[in-house]
Amino acid sequence: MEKQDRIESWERKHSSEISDVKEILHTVKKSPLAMVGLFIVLILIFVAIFAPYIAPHDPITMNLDNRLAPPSMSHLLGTDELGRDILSRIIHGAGVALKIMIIVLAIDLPLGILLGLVAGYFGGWVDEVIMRISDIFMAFPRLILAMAIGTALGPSLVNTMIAIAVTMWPTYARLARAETLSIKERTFIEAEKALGTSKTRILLSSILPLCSSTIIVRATLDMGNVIRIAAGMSFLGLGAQPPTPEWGLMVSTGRSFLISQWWVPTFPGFAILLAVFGFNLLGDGIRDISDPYLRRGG
Amino acid sequence: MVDEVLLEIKNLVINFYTYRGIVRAINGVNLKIKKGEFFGLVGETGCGKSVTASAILNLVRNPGKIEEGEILFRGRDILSMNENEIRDRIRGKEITMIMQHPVAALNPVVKNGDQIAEALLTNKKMSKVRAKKRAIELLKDVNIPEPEKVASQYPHQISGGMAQRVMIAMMLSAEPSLLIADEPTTALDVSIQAQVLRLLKGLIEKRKASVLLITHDLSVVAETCDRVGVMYAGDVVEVGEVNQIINDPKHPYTRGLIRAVPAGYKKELVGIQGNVPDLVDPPLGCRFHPRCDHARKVCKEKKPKTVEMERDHTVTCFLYE
Amino acid sequence: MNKEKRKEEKVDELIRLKDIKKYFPWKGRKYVKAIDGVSLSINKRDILGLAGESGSGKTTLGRVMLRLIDPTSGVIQYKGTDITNIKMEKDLRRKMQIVFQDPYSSLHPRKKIKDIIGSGLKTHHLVENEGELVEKVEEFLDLIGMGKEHLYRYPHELSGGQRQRVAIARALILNPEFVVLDEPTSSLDVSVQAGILNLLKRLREELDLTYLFITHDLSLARLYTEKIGVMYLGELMEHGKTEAIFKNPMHPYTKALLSVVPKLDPRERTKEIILKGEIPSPIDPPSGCRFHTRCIEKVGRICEKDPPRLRDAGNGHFVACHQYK
Repeated sequence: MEKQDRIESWERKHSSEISDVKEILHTVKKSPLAMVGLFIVLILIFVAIFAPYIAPHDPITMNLDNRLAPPSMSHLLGTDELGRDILSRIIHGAGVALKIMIIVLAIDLPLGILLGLVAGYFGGWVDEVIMRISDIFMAFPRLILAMAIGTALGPSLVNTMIAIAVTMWPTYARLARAETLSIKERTFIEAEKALGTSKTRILLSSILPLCSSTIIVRATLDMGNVIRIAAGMSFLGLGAQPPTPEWGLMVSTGRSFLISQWWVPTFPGFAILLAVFGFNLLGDGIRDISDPYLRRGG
Repeated sequence: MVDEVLLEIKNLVINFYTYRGIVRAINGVNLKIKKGEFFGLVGETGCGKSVTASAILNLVRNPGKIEEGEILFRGRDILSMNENEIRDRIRGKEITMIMQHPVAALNPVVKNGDQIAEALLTNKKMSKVRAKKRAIELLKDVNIPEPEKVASQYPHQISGGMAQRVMIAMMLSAEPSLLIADEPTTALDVSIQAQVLRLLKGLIEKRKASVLLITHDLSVVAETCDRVGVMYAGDVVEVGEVNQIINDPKHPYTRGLIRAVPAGYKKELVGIQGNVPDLVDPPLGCRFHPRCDHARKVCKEKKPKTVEMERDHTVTCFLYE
Repeated sequence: MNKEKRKEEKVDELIRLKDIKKYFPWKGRKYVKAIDGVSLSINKRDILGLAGESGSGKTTLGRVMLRLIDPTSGVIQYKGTDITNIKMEKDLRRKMQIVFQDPYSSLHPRKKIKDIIGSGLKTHHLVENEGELVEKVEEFLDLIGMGKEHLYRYPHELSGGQRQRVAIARALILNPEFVVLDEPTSSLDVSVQAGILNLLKRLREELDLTYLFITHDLSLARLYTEKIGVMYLGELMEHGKTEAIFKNPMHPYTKALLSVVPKLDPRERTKEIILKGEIPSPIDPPSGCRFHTRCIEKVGRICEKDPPRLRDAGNGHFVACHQYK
């Protein structure tokens, strides 16, 4: 009985959120492309988490007797130049891709948002300094800058993640700053000022929650880029090192077999394509949903 | 007063198909506007007065849809005319409309005088020179000082009140029989409002046109209109001559409105309890019953019929059936 | 005897403005002269109305009083203390509150009603924990005529009138002394307006508050204010007891304004004084008396050269016009 009461009281307290979620789901159902994107991303996450259980073979074990075998029942996508099962490597590669994305986001989002909020809210020389620094980073094309940093730090997966994170924070900082600039003029912020709320609290509890939507959309759209750049870095030898089953690396090492044993580079390449595509669709879908929602709620 | 009916709205029903459900925004509206009269349509947010105005020009678009009813202009149903005929003869010609934000309605890259001249040229055959001259004459008619200067300016260079008068001049260029004004002075200062309303009133006298004034301001209606219709949640609840409605309101909503409007002799204001209903799920029967002090059982079940109390004074309420 | 009386008056006085000016920089070297020399005082338990049209500066003046906008020059005194340039500390902010015009934008769209109303309670440490906060907010919801079910709702789920009540609760739950009401009902329907204004009236009695009631609706001002000031283009043209101003307006602008306000009752209607021209731009306001370009009671060249000062016309009625010496 007590549990029932607790459930009911929780429902009452959060009835607004519940109806909001219902509304979002209703809207999401209407956009088939967003659904497809969501589906692909969910599969990616699922595969990444459960890789050890799903993968039919160990991704690292070599079997030089069975090198470059075409797709068959025992190796659905064939084997690579060291006899490793491509399917299993792709499955584990999802985990690698996910790890890269999470780490990049974990660095970039807090850093970028914080800097953007501070720049937008306080203005003046703080704003100038932060913006000029971000300008410097944005002056370079992302991949080139990532390559430069990756080379300087030394080839490794971790360094790739750092390099990518460093190239991406200005985007989020600018977004957060732009949002902050427009939000801080709104009446409910003036109301907080009149109430005596401290600037820090205004920033964190009133402005930050409103920035999140645009940033989430941007971050989702960017995930495709992250995978692409990471793959590119690995392809050039700067990122993941063998035997890590990273998709870009697999394409790179499989390059020379493209004509005769096409499955070696093609399937990992296709995995990259699918993942990027999925994130882009999802990002577009989220943007479409959050716009009318934002308009109504803000 | 000339009694001839110029426009008659019969049993108009308009639905809006929204993501939350079907909104029955106009619930069977009946209205008559006579020749040469200044008619006020008054109501609060969501009552449907603006939608009714759009319907007159058959401008109701997705997600709105006119489901039933007729709008008879000089005896002919506008809603059954084809689009070309409405465009050629009715819209911007016999019936014109001005709205709340005139600067937004004017073309920002065309000079004011040229916009009026263009309007003239679509209606009549005349030389461009003549049209430009006539445009200045029209600006004089609407009491704009230095009309030549204003004609050579762009909409963003003139104030809201002036822009509204430029709009009126444009609408007049077609010599309409009915001018619909949808909250024309809501965004204007009181002192400018007085100028614009005086202008509209003068039009009736000079050109024998009718004016349909849509507003939420009962005091404006009291000062300018001949007859008034009161709308609530998609229904017309009371229609009558202005003096009758203000001094002897019959419908409980009308009474509530009048009690809520500030006036010098009053010591306090009384509001109407409750809120305007959500039209996705409106109250059954009479839509006003949840807020009505006189609500009875029948009010919650059936929709009241319109009753004529005395000449030209109609009420839609079970108290009078 | 006199000194004591003056001391009493000083204690009673809540706000005093001395020659407040606010100029906003505009495109290079020009300025929007939103307020150009306004002096007035508000006593405890006053309801002072501030009326005017667009460009009058009434909204800006309300904000300057609370130091939400800092004046360009002039003095703001709160209970005798000069607060013009000090850092506004929390407790002072608590005592001076504001209710904004638009209930649709003055509430944070992603916060729940209990957090919106309770925000100030947390900031000023008036409650110690969440439980106390909910209790206090519930109490106040009851005071403003709303039920507990609204605690966990979001602003977009409430009607305009309800949102404005929440905005009022947010300000008044802090137990302030002075509240600026910035057109509190202009965005609301007429039928809802009365409820809000009556609520404000009742709360003033119960909580012993002083109000500055900013409005463009003179009919409303007549009903709800005891004293009123009329502003035009950044200056105070006339002020005094509300009834006196309405029955016997002295400034030509006030006369014209009152004559064109639409009136429900035909008996109140007088001959309309239609002012010629438009309200001039506050960037380049007329010289001398701001109103001279539209005034039909112009005295002469002096109106174009000298700005008139507010003169005492007796019984607390002050006018700034050269025809009254």
